[in-house]
Amino acid sequence: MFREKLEKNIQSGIAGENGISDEMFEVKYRHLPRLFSIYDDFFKNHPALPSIPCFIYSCGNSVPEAVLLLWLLSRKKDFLLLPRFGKIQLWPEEGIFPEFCTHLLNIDHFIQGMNLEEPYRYIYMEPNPGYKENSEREPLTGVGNIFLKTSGSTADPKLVMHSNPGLFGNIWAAVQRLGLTSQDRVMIPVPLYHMYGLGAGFLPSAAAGASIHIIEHTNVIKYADHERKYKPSVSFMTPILCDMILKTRKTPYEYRLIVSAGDRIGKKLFEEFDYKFGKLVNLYGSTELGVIATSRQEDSREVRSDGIIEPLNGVRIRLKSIPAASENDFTNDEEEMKPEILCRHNYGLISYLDRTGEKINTFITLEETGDMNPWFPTKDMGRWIDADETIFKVIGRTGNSMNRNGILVAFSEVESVMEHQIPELQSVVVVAREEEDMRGKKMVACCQLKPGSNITGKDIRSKCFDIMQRYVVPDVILVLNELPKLPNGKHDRKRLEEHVKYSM
Amino acid sequence: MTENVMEQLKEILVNRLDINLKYEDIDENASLYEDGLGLDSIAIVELIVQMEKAFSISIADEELKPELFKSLTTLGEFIREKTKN
Repeated sequence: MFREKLEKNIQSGIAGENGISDEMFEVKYRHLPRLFSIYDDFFKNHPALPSIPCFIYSCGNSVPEAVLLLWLLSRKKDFLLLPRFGKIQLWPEEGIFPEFCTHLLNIDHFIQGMNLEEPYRYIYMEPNPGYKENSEREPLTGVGNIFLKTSGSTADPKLVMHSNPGLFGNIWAAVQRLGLTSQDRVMIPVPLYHMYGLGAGFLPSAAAGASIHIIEHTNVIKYADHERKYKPSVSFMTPILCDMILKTRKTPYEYRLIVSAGDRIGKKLFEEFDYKFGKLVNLYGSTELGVIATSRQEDSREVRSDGIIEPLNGVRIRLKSIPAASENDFTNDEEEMKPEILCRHNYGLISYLDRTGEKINTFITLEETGDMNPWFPTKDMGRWIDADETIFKVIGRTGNSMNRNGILVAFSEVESVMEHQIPELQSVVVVAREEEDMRGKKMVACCQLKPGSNITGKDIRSKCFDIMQRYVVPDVILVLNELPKLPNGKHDRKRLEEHVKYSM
Repeated sequence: MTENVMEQLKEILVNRLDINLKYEDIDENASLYEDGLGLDSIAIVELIVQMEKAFSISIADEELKPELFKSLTTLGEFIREKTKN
């Protein structure tokens, strides 16, 4: 489907002189058939590649990497998409890479002026050291499955498996909802390896034949610089990026459409940004389901800024009340009134997988209502706006996680990294504090030291800067003599939240 | 005057940005970003806001350029130019 769409755009002339660019490179869509053919030969002739490889593709935000990504999709290769390998990998210690992937794939050493028609210069492959042959395993490859990593906890890493046609189905629905056309000049300052940048931004824009400009490691300086040079009409941003731009830019710029996703953008920020930069829409989606819902472009600024969104065509939403006796997820009665958003559509994930390639139970059914369809629990809470249940808003998150820099961070991830890498710590419980700043709610790490250990909160935090990426570093470290526990032995998060709320 | 600008810039970095940087770790010619002094995108915004306050300047959109925001040295030159009048 990707291949057909790209070829059709080129043949029909829709794509025109459009293409994909970044700081260093530009590839026009009409160059792609030739480039893809060169890649076909490169991969076919590569020694020691099995006939059906399954790649772990470590992909950053650059044109060569974006082009390779399109090739993989167009040729229906099986691959897991990960960020460029950096110093932090939030994976468990036993192994980093899934057992069913045969090879690591990445692009490196690209230099200005490099000839992209010489893939042997910049495409690297090596066997996956974690690969395990397993005839018992249900076949996962050979059909063009795409695997994405969720922001699940380190203790419970999960992969999301999408089919090639499934992913394309969602992409096409997104093109239609966002009204992307080949007239658009689209800016993508968000990561391609993440479902938002990939499934809402890059792939729909490519499918529409729009001109695309990619930015790596975005900050306001780079963004302003690229915006001046490229003059986009559409941009895929996050609430934090919107906030940063509003704080530093003096002159407005008119976009046809700005998309914001990752977390609910505050009403005031939304209104100001929409006023200065053009029509802003909220986009709600997930790694598992792609794009789920967006603001209606025809709605007023007032309505859009309230976070009111409409599911895409073909996407079904249900709200399910969480039963009262739910495992420590809710802290007070009020929250039990907020039902969880369940979602169902034809183009969502096939399944979760664990690292061995084993399928993990993913869907729930609502037998008590007689509805035997499989629904996906989003772990977000929502509320219908109208009686006909056509528009809704997301009002919070169930479970112990928070959004940092547009990325969902499970508290257990932070706790695990701290406990494993800071020897003085016996246990850590991370809670959120209501007050917000540019990064979002404050993350407080409550620490209990090992007996006999001596370390200050300040030093603990300093160590965090070394062992984690900046966006995950807790804002406050509290050292406590003891962390309260529930009768079942688990930490009493509710009490810690109250302690943090009232005593700080 | 020269020293004053650099000193003030360093003071902003150490005391007003949440980046865990100490005076002795500052290399004036190092990159501001993760490959150098360690400012992430949020710290960059805070730096701009603090610079405007400290030097009573307004940084125009056209001045948000990688060439200027490269190192403390380039920033220092930029500020000196801007505050000349």
